[in-house]
Amino acid sequence: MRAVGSSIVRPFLVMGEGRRRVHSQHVQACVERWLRSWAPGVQAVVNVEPAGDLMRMAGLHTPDIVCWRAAAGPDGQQLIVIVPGQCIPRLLGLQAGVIETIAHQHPEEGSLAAMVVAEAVRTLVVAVANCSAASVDLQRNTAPIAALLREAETTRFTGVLVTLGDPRAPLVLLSSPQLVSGTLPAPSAALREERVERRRRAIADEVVSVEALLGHAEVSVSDVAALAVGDVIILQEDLGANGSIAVRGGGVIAGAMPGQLDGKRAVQVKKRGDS
Amino acid sequence: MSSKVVSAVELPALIHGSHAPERAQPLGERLDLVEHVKVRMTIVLGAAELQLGRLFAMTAGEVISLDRDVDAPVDVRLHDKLVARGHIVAVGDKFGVRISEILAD
Repeated sequence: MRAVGSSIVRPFLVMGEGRRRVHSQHVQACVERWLRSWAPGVQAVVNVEPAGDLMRMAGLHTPDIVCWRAAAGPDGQQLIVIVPGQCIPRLLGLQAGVIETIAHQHPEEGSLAAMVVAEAVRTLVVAVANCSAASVDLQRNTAPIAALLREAETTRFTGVLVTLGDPRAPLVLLSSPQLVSGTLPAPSAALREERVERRRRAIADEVVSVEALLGHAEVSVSDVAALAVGDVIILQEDLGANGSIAVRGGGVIAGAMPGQLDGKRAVQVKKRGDS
Repeated sequence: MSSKVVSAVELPALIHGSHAPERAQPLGERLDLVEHVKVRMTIVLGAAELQLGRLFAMTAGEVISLDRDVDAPVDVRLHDKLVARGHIVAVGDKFGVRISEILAD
């Protein structure tokens, strides 16, 4: 067994604090029995029933997963997820559709809460992938995780703190895009392109000022000092040459042929990136 | 590698006006020192405000209307500074700009 993470990610979402208080002596006994066999020296045990409830919705059974809050070093609390071996195949068999179903089973909580629940399941899946034996075939199961990772990026998840049961003993699910992505292969070229396209769409309405340039002239300082009305500055550009379009304060973005349109000066875009 | 003696160098403190000849001429009046230096002038036809989405999708052939009337003067810029305005002319096979207005400062 190894810890899910070495420090607690700063959370920004809190859900369900103090809302659920389930005390099951049976579950508690199971937890303690497991902990004695898996991790001697445990200092504290959270109320696992809500976590079990979550897992039941995912088609698992209490107490398949035990979430154990342990006192850690200078970083404070640390969550360690202990997963019995027989549970691993089922966890890794979770599909995106199952997780979406879980999210939809919480309509009263609104989309935010649904996302938190989905995030909790997602975290546990990744945690299991991190903690389980070498027999785990992560590649085979990355598709649903990758889809959820994209969702997490869209919603700017940096971490989730889900308080279940006794508020004084919160169940902290360590989760961050970094943690999740650390278990996944590098994003594909298609995924990178999709991200770029998404960002493009996000800034598409921003307005920038562009200028149409006719050309340039190299003149001496003395000519500039003596410049007078009626003087003619000869440009470097031939009459048939294109001008250019430049973002104000930026670079040239395209060549442009000067002209007019409806009484206004205008330019027609020529080859892009060619001034 | 040859052997060299390396020692510290202490630069003297400078005081404004010290070591100046009695009838020193300000460098600002010595235009002759830089009169042959070339500077780059840019002729601007006009400007337009565009959404980035349109900029990204811009293709060859598209016409962009500018913020100037056809017969309005063009801007003559020295770097980013507007120094004059004028009208486009042909000088042989080159574009030219006949200056119609000099802008102070």
